Amino acid sequence: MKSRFVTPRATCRGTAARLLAALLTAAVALAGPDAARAHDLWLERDGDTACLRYGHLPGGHGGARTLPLGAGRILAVFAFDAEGRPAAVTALPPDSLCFRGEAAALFVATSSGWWTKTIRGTRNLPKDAVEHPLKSWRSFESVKRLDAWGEALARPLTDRLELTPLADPLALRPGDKLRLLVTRGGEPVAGATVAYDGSPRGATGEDGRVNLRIRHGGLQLVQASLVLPLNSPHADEAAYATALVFELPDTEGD
Amino acid sequence: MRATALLALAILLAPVAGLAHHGVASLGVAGLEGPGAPVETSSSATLPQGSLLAFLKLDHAVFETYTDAVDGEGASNAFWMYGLGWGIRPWLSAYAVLPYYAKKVEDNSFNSAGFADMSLMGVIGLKWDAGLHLVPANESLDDLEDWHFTLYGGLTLPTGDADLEDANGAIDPGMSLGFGTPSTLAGVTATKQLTGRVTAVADASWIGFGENTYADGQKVRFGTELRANLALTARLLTLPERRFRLDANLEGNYLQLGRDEADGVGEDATGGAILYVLPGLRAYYRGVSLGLGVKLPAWTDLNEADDQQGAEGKEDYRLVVSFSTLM
Repeated sequence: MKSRFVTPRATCRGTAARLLAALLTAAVALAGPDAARAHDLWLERDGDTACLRYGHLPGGHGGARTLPLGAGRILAVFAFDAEGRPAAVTALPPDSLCFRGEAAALFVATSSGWWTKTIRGTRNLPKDAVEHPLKSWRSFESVKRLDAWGEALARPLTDRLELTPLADPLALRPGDKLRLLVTRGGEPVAGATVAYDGSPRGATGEDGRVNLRIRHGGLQLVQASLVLPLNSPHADEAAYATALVFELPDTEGD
Repeated sequence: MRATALLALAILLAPVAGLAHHGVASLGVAGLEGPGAPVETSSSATLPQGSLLAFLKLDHAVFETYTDAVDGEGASNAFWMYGLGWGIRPWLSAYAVLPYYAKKVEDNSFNSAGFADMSLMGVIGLKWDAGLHLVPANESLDDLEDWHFTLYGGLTLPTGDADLEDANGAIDPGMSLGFGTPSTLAGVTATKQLTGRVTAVADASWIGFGENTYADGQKVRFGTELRANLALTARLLTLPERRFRLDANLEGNYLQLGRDEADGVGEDATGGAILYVLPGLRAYYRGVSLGLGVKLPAWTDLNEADDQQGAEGKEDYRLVVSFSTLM
């Protein structure tokens, strides 16, 4: 039986972080959720192996279509047991984009690189490598999957942009509230856009917290995004997107 | 004698309802997916901390007349409410309203117009989320689906002219621009977003009046008002790219009026109960909200009904328009 790890959604041009952040810059509900549902990154599990995939992931359920993905995108992989201690995972041959090992929490950080919008379209290059740059950013995407729970997992596990449930998400059922903390560098992040199944539902407050409601059983996909100024000759901004993925028992009708 | 000025406090709350969605997820602007807000019934909204709400509301009542002659029957009343609201805390809002009344009788023998009693009000916001809490600073769209409540209270200050005289030097308290004495208001609201598109809102309030001694020596105490409103709003249309939303509203507005007293004696042809039905629309565009509704008396049980005219329950209709913007 297959299950999936899901990374933040990305467009064909790898601009998921920007899209998601733009959705909630001023108003969560004012942005059309469909804008964030172009292309996705996710991790697909088969037994004890999880593989990074790219393509379409409609609604957090089945029917995914995959597209080719470059192996150089992965920046780091972190695995933890339920006590928050590092767990061992093995990277399989790079081209496969796969990892083997058991972990309560698995965090994969990726980047689609530098992006610059020009008068001739958006290019996957830094702004100092193109003519007539209009806007530029570096895109970072990450995903955390939870397959077991321990109190230690109610705290951030990395210094990246990260979504952390404040209580056991695996015990939730449709209709329950999922209470989340969004951090970067281990500190709460205010104003991060948070979406459920690709639909923006809120933004974090000063304490980095936001609540979502579980809508269905099966795969749960929560995403957060943030855009920050970037003091770099290569880009104006850094666009961060992260996802939290876990699975609940399927309910009737899901 | 029922002074239409008494509507001031009740009307005061309604523009607040138009901004119910402004608490959505700290958006600061109208949410296209948050709970809806009726036109008349007060929703359980509080203003975001530090935000300023400006609003204007018109309640234009056109009364039935019962004689063929053009005489002194009440013809129409227009109540304009100019208001400001301030978000002191996420769970505490304060409002000030300055009403302007224009009351007209059929033969224009005693029309009155002018600024009336200023109203002040405070609103405390609560919600149920695994327990009763004060409304927090930040709520997601999913948080807004929780039960929300407000407790509110207010008073009027006697800034309007209560002793307005007609051409003969007589004072009709029902045509005056103020109560001459403070009145008090207390109420409670409950709001629940039932589905992504439909929101239910309930509101109950009480207004009590003190006895005022007018310049001509008469002492009048207006009867206590009780209101119970129930509303359903349904999101009809959203245009995210234009930040536009249109809701339909259907409200039932129950009003029970106590009998007025003059010199300690209950006055005939005052008081009773009315159930209004109010179909309406509310449109949102960016940070602006416009509500429009027609309030119709669907059922009445008025004291000495045949003798009442130009008062609540005797309208042809009431046109209700509200405009509000959050800054």
